Amino acid sequence: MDEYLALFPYTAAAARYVEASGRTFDSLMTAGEFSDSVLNKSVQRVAQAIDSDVHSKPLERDDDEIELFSYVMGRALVSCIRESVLVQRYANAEAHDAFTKLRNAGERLQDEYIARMLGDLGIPISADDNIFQLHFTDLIKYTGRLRGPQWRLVNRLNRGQVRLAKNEMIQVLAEAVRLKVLHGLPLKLSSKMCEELVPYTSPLRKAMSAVSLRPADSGPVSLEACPPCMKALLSQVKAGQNLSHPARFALTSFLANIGMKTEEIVHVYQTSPDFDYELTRYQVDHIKGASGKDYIPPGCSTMETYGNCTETIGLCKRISHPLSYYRARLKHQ
Amino acid sequence: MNPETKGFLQRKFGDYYRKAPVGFPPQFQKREWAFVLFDSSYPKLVMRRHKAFGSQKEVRAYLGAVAPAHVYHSTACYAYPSATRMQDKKWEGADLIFDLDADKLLTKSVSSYAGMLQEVKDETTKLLDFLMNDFGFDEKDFSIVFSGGRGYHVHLREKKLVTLGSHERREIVNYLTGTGLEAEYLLKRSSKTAMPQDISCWEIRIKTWIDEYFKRIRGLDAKIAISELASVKAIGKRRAKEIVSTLSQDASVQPLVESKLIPLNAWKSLIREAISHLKVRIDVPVTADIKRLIRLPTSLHGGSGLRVTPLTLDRFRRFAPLNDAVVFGDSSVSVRILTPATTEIMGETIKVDQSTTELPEHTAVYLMARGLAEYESRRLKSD
Ligand code: SF4
Repeated sequence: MDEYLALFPYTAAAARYVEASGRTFDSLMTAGEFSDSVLNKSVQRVAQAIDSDVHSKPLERDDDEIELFSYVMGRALVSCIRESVLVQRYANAEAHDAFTKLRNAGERLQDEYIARMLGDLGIPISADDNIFQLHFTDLIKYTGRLRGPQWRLVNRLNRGQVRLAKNEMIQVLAEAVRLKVLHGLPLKLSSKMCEELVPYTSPLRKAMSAVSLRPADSGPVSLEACPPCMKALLSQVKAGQNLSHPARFALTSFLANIGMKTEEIVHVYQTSPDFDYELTRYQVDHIKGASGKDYIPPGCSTMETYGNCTETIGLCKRISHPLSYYRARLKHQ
Repeated sequence: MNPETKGFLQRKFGDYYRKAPVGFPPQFQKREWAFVLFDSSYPKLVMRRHKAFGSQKEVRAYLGAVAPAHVYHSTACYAYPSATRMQDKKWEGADLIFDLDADKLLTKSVSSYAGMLQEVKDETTKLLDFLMNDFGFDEKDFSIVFSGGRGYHVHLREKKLVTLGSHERREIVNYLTGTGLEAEYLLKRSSKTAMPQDISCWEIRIKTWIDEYFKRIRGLDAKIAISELASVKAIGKRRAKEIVSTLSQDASVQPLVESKLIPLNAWKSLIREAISHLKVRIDVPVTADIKRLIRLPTSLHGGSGLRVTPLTLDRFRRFAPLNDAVVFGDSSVSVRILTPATTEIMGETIKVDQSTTELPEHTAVYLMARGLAEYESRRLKSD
């Protein structure tokens, strides 16, 4: 078996191999030792995604067939657990894995892998001497979540094209993998199949509640942990400046989401020159919604669009949402 | 607007629709259509939405019979365009549309309609230059449409564009508005980029602008030049003097760029200045919206009676809305003026004040549509 398929099991080539192998769900469940290894490995794959620590060690490489089919089964496990957070983490983990494998491959193999993946994922490119040229429409599909000025069209576009260095190309490929995995899940599986998988999914479910995929925002609010953009908006308000509408919306919904009470948020705006208690209270209530978390604050790219993003270095480089920034900071406090 | 006026406009619009060819968007069967009618609530806009048509004949028949005040179609194509809930329509892709409208665009107030249209036209010209130069689109990739009101729409339907989501469209908008361009990053980058292809078109634009800025400064009287330069943040009077003398010695700007005469902060403020001059002022959320409605090209704008006019690039350049978008003739119509106004339609300047008067049909329609006049049916007196 072609090693490429085991390394990058989400590619079209791998899908063709799986198809041609004739292995079905049933045969994968009943193939004795082979099944055990595949299922075992797929549980590890998902478990690692749940853990989602970017610094965790890569899993040990198994036999190629096991690698490939453990991905297939991993998708089944994720689909049966049916948690959209898990789907996202699974996609992230596979993307991270793709990135590591591509980057660590020797030069010859690396070039081969990149070329095959580009074709496989349907990204049209003209490559020449380690420079990869893409049409901008093919690039922006993948760069939405990537942070940093080098990913913005304003800094790169030249006559409809963008030229990427090899290491950038690898990052884009990893993003393409993430989206491919993400959009392919969850699979529609019968409840019968999921029942058969319970022995494997139940420990995973436990692991999930242990790391608590839904970060609890119920703890005390820490203004210290707020991202630079929100700190900037807060200090503008403190300095008595009026915020633009999008900025006000961003700040209010952010504060509501990290658990601030309506009264506290209203209090924040008190120094604003056009402060009107009733109106502010009404607005805050409206943005907070009845459940308190109706409106998710805008992500970093929206913040950037309205000129409210103030930083692209450090932690900001790695996250794409002000809330992720906050959560990451809280964890490390 | 009284019922007689509505009836008159509706009759006139109907005459137009029964004769004029309709400019169908591609895949018109997959689009949602929407109309505002000359009904009892008009001019309050009550939008009748979620209509779909299976054939061109149906559309023509509808327009001819109903004679709507405003006609729109969705920029998106849907599997079920007539479904009333968005999530049931099943989005299949949407044209990328830029909406340049005087209402949203103008910073300073321009008094005349013509002056305002000119300013929007300049902005549209800028946009087209960005599309062709930076994005590499060809004239055949877009269509330009006069909106019938106070601006222009530019439609792009290139295959690669229609499937872009609003997030990705926002990236395009950010490009046009120069959002995310940072002076610091540009300066750092330009010092190390080796290949000319790696320079972004924005970088070239900024460089050219700065070159021209200094060329202009060089052409000025030394005293004025110094005071202008000194007004740039972080340059100051002493440096301004030195710069002016360097400029007058050398014909090119290059040595200036290499010299240390201009401090980093001054470069930054020059770059920022350049960006604010060069960027296109378009509405961000509107352009990124993938489920909106847009006026049907070739329809009539109920608020002006002017034709929503599709234009080639060449016609756009020579386009004079108050001439070229007029579809009505000059037979005389009697109206009662509500608000004094001056119009300049078909090259004819007409000043009207509060009274009943006879006007050429095109001007009468225009004033009525804008709510400045009412229709006056001519009565024969018996006393
Ligand atoms: S990157 Fe995101 S979190 Fe950081 S400042 Fe910008 S918007 Fe805020």
